[in-house]
Amino acid sequence: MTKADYLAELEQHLRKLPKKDFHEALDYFTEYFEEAGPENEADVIAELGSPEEAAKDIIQNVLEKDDTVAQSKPKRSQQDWITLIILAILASPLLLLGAIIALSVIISVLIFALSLLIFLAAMLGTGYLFALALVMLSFITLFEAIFIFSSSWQALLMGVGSFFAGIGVAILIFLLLLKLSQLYGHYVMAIFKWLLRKWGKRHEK
Amino acid sequence: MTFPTSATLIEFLILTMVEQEDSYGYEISQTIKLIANIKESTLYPILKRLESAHFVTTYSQEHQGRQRKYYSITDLGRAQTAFLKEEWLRYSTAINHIIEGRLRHDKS
Repeated sequence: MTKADYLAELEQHLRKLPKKDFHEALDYFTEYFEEAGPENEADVIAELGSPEEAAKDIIQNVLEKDDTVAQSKPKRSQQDWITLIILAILASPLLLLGAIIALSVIISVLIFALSLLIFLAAMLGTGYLFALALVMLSFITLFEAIFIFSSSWQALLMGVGSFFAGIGVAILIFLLLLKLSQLYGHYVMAIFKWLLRKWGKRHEK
Repeated sequence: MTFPTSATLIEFLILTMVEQEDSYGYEISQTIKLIANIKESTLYPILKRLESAHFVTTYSQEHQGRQRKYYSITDLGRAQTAFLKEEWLRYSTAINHIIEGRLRHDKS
């Protein structure tokens, strides 16, 4: 086989390659033959193997690299993605700050509302305790009047009177507190229902 | 040619050659063939790979009435060569030390 024959056959088998790769490969091996010189022609052909085999090796390895070259294109869109992510991360401190501020405002409002509720409940509770204390005081006054001041009927009278006065006031306070508790409970329930409705709407959305 | 030469090593050798001076295909392949039993149909794709990776660029120059394709190194190629040189130093030193008996696996 001569150099010309070999190259002609090689060319035929290399046609599978994309145009640019085809020309480059063919140029390379043509140059290779020329550099080796006519005296080494036979050696080169022997070393290369059959044109079919040589072409197969070349195509296999070149196309593999084409895959890696093609992979560099996705890398570019990979680079775009990376840029996007970096920008988002850089921007996120501001977003994060805004979110933190909004969240803390919401939380402080909630805490205030909650503490208000607790305060009112505590006040009511204190009121009941006060009424109870008054009742106890009234009974103590009565017993004092009967057992300690029994010698004086004026003192006894005053004691009994104080007793009934105390009991009466306690009852009044107690009734007032009941009414207030009723209102309190009513409003708390109303708020809860309103909140539930709002939550429900969100979930429906 | 007792020891097989990996593609990576061949790439490395090509880069060092081209780093020293611009070189053309035949010269490169003949030098490589001094130490590796490699077929041209395997070597050519390795050269192409270096070009695709932008480690080398090519240009044509006339020589004795015909066109020669020359390969020259890029900055990226220089960086890669420096890296590979370090790796090679570590690798070859370890091999030599094992041969000389200076290096063994630490059994503790």
